[in-house]
Amino acid sequence: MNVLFTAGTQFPFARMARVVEGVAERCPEWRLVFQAGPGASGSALPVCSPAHADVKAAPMFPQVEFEALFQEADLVVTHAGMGNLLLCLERAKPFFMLPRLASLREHRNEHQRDTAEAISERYGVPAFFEVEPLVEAILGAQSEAPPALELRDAIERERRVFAKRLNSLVESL
Amino acid sequence: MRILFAASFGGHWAQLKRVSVLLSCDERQFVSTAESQHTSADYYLEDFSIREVWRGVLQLPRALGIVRRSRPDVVVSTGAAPGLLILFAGFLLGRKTIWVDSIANSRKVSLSGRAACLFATRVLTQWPELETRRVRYLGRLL
Repeated sequence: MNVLFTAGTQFPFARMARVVEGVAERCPEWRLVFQAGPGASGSALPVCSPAHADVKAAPMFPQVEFEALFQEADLVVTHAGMGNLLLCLERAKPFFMLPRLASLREHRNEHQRDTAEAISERYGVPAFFEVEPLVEAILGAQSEAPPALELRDAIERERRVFAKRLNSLVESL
Repeated sequence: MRILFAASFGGHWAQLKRVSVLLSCDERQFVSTAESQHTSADYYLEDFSIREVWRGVLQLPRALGIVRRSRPDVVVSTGAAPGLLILFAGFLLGRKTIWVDSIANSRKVSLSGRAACLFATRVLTQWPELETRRVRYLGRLL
């Protein structure tokens, strides 16, 4: 199992590092990759024992490398940032969300909680608000079916409708 | 038709690129915020938050210069504050302006989006529940 964790680029996101540690601890044979965010240090980086050598963590991977890591991942675990959510949904990549919470000083406001709940409701993607349940879900992820490709088709349909209405708006201005 | 697209780097930029391919036009130009890994825009502003209005005011001459040089018929922004600034510069120079609020704002239109309501030609939300007389819903990226 190959899991990509991505924390986004805002404030430190130590809880995501705890998730990486939790999974590394229980599945030492899995390949884990963690993009911790620029300037990530101290508790925002995972501490894994040498027995779990296959944890690759960096503040930011170069774009080309990130693209390859994303392709290779069987599962993506991400903060609820729009860039990653768009990518996962458009490419039909199985993923879990751990929204950054303003109450824990992980973001400026609570919009990631709203986003995660809205995306979860609309597309059935699991959102987690605590470390332990997320670790459990990742460990059980192998048995889950990947998200339906119909999702991607539904998104394309939405966009065709949006495009048509946007273009008539621009023409009418 | 020439369209100038503006958004700060990150999720706003990801949405801007996707909106830009939905709009048919003859020429697209892009404004974004300076980041080490980010080289795909035509013009750049320094990033700032809507709560630091003075940093926006300081960059207004630059924003006006960008709009003058790119001579767009329409300016489109998906946020956040730097996009709003370009939209405002477009408004000052008599261009048509469209604000597309981020999908991330599912409960309430963003503060920048509410500011755009003061001057933009059209303000759009991507959530039908948030539609009002001023803020229209025409569709969504997701």
